Amino acid sequence: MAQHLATKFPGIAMEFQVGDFLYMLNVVGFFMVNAVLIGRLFGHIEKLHVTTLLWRLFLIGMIGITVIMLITFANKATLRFTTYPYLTAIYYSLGFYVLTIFFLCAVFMFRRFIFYPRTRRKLLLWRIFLGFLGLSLIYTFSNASFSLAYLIVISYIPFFILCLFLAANVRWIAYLNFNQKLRALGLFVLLMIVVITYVIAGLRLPVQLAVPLLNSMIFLHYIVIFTLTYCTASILVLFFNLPTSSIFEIQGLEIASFSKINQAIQSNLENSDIMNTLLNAGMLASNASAGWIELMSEEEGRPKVSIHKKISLQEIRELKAAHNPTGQIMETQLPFQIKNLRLHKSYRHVETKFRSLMGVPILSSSQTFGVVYVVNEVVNSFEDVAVSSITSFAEQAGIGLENAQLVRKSIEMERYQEQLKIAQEVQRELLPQNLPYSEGLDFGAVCETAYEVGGDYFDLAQPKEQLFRIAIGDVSGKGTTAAFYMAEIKGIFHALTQLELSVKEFVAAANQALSACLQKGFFVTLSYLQIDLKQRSVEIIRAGHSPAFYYHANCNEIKMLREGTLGLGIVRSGNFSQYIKDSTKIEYQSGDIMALYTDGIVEARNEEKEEYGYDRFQEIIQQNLQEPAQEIADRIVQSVKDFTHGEMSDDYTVLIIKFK
Amino acid sequence: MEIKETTQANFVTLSPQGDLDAHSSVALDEKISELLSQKQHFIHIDCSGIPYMSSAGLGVFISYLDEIGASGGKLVLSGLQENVLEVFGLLGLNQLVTIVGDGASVASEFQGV
Repeated sequence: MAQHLATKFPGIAMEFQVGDFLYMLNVVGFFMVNAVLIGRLFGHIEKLHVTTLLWRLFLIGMIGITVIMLITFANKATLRFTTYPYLTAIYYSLGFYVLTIFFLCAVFMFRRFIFYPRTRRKLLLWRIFLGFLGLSLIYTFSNASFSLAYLIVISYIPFFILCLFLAANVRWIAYLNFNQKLRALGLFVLLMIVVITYVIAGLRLPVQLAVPLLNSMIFLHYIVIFTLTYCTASILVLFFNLPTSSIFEIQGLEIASFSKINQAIQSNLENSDIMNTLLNAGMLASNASAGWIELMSEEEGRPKVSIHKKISLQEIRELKAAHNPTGQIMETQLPFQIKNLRLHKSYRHVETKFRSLMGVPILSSSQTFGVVYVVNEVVNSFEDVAVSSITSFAEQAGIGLENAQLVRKSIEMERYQEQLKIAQEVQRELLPQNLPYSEGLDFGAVCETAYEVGGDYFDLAQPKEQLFRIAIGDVSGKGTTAAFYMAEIKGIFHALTQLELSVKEFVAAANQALSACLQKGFFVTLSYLQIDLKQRSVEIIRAGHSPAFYYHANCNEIKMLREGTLGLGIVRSGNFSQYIKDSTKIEYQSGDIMALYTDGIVEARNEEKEEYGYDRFQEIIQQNLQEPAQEIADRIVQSVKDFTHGEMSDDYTVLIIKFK
Repeated sequence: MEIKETTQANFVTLSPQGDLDAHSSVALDEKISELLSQKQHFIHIDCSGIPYMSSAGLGVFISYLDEIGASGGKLVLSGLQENVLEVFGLLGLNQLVTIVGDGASVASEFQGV
């Protein structure tokens, strides 16, 4: 070969004697500089996509081929006119340069593919690969001239094995979807064609260029072998991965629908959105041809189709007319499947294009909302994987539905709270807003309800200048019902106090009026009193109510006025009057105090279940004899609260009358 | 609320256990209603197991007074605890219901009916 070159281009032979150290240094330097240059260049473009990178490589290859074609053409054209001896050499040097550049580009681009993702093992393999390339350059300086066969055995075969190891790193393919895989495959096939073109063109190069020894070409051989191996491996893997890529895509979509259902739950979307997502995801996961969802309807108390896809309501009705598994699924809370409708005893005679059916319950921890159905035209089409996917989707949707329900309930609760607040305000206005002021009397009152509204009542009327009529009462039960009856008592009180009735007549009339409007089992306890300022007397009648306390100033003694009559509304027939006992009449002295209250006060219990009782009540009165009536009332309620540590299970009402 | 029912020769004994309030009284209410619908108008309620009785609990007895009275039946309560007895007294219910000290004298209350 050297001889050939020398005879053809005597000039080259003169300056660069083949095997000359300088010549070799030139070749090695060329490879090294370019390798480092391109290595750096491609090491930095990290963000490009696989197909973009391949496309660029292909373009570089195409440009190279064009250049080589132009060179060949120019060489042939100029040879006719000129005899400049180096011209051919220059042309072919250019071709050689283009070829080397292309393969180096390929090597460093594939390096990025291999390093996806980067591991220690891959790094080691790559270093060995670089080591081989380095050795090949050193080998250029050696004078040893191995035969090609020998070289193949000692270096090409180990290098090829290394390339196979490197080419096994095609993890990037798994991350492509079907379309991207198809595109990458096309690009690799094109690249392969380009590579083969280069190889064919390159095979003629040493002859044309008269590049000497095999030794200096090993580097080039190496990178060509590597490129070819990696291209072939990628094409094969891409090709065989094509059919399975749709499975990965479905799984990807499943994950996406899963997170979509999750989002729907977190953002408290409408039920219909959650159902829509569930059905879409379920049909996708099970590869179903149609599907629908039945949800328990609160109004009708039975499951109703809430959404259906690719199947009409009529078809669903026809299908389920033969046999309706919804009840069974909701009861057992287990998925239900019919593998072949044609062979099933209930569906055998149904005209339908569908062959398999599956129903999965939509559950939450506390209840069953409904069933999601999927059907398919193929027999036995729902695999275990599909069943478990739909089941987990349905569970997510169940949580979503429950959340939505809780939100709705809490909004409703809020509305009730609002209504109760209004009721509370109305009720507060039913109680006297201002206690009457009188020369001869001092009033003090506290009324607090345990719940928003209560059943305690007290009221005062002053039909004449010198006459006060007062009632304190308690409706059995607590809360809203009691509050309504309390309003009725107010009506009765104000109607009857306008009449000239004795206290006994008042109680009889009130019993009659209340009997007509109280629900069965409800009753009212009431103390009614009449204070005559002119006569300086107070007359009290107790209808089942907690007995009042009376403090006699002249003997400094508190008495309990126990004499009493039946509560109101207990006996509703005409013979109530036979149970009415006499009233108590007291001629009051200045400084006397009367304390009226409801049973919530004396029956208030502390943590040890101990009752507040009469004694503590009397004690507070005794301690506060000189205080104004309002102060005494406040102190009693405060002492009850201190006793129970704020725990309030019944309404507290205290009415204090001080006689002057 | 747990209610034990024992049928005697000519009356039925109910023994409720626990506080008788708005919630628990529903069970007793249903029990009495059931007995009355079976034409059993002679009822004895052993109250020794009731430590506390709210006004709603009292309402249960009151609501059946008329019905039992009208059918010629009888309601007898026994073993009322002191505070419960106090409430009965204040309300005047002791005038309407037969209240006896303990279970021993109950049978005599139903004698001859």
